[in-house]
Amino acid sequence: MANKKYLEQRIRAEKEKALLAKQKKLRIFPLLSLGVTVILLLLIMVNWAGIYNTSIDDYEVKFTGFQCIVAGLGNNYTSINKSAFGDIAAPFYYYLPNLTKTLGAISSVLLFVLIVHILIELFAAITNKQGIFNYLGIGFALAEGVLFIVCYATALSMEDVLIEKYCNGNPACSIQSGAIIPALIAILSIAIPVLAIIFTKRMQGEVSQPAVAPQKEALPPQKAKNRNR
Amino acid sequence: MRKILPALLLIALLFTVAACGTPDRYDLTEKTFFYGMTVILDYPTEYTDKVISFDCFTYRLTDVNGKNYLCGVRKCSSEYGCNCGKDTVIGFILDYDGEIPEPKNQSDDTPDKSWIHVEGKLASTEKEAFRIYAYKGDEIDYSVTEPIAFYHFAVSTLTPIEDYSGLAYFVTK
Repeated sequence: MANKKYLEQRIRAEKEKALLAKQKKLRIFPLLSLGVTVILLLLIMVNWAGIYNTSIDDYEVKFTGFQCIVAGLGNNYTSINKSAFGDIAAPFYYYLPNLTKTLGAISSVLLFVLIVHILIELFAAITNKQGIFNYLGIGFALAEGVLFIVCYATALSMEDVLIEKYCNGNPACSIQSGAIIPALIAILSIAIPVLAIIFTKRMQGEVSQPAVAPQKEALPPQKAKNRNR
Repeated sequence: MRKILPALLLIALLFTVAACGTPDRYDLTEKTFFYGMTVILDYPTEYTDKVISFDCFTYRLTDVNGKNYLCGVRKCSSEYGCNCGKDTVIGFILDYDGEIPEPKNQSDDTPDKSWIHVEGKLASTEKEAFRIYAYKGDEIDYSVTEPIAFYHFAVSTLTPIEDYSGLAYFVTK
């Protein structure tokens, strides 16, 4: 009986050791999420909204997500400073003040969500905790995807007014937004915490299996012989 | 990972610095003239208390009643997106106690004008609207009038520019 207990303990200890080793491998998931979220943060630098003219093969006017956030945080949409604010003041805010302000507000919220997400993934990676952090990861990635898509849709919805008023209906002009790229990446990045959950559950399943079955196999042949008598 | 936290703090700081505060003066350069002038004209109330400086040439506008307005302007190109219209000028009516150089070659598309550097502030947030006779080619057509509206600019200092070779007659984005 004591031998059986000893074996059970030993097997359990070995399994826990194996689990710990596997758990260490799971750290890759928060690290991946962290990397993707940092990339999403950097992708705020892409063109957020711009009037593209195929005749000149370039943007007539544009602003980046970074510039939109700067305008949103400072509630300053009428600045001359092109390097910090792009062409937000003219023509975007001039013709579409409400949409431009909406875009500024959404982009600012997006920045906040991204920074919080980075901090959470950083904490998860350092402590190597799964569970709730994976679900948080799904939530944040989904929220980021939705916010990026809303930014993209808001930018595109400026087309009718701007093309008519600013471009005099020039058919060569159209509104373009690069926000769709981070939006797709954010949506795809949901797969990372989902995979982390699957792997974690699989691992937990392996650990919770009863230790009896392998115990028999582990018995030394001599003891098994005694039991048969 | 230790580098990520300071990097995040730096990003937050950059956004804060960029978002906060507006300067008290704007020196419009060749690179910033058109956009700066467009924004100032679009949002005059935001710039009434700011010192603005820029290079321009003098231009006389005479309304249908014979009243003269001496302006500081640049020729505006008529590309897509140029809101000032085709073949027109962008600038201000100059309010100055001193002497403003007389316009030169006003009806000719040449950079050989009376160039000046002015510094001052917007004198009003309401445009002065009047009607002028329209141009038909190079000639004034006295049978057609068109509306025009300019802001007044209170000039504090005015300096004639002798060498205008680095200044663009047409301004674009």
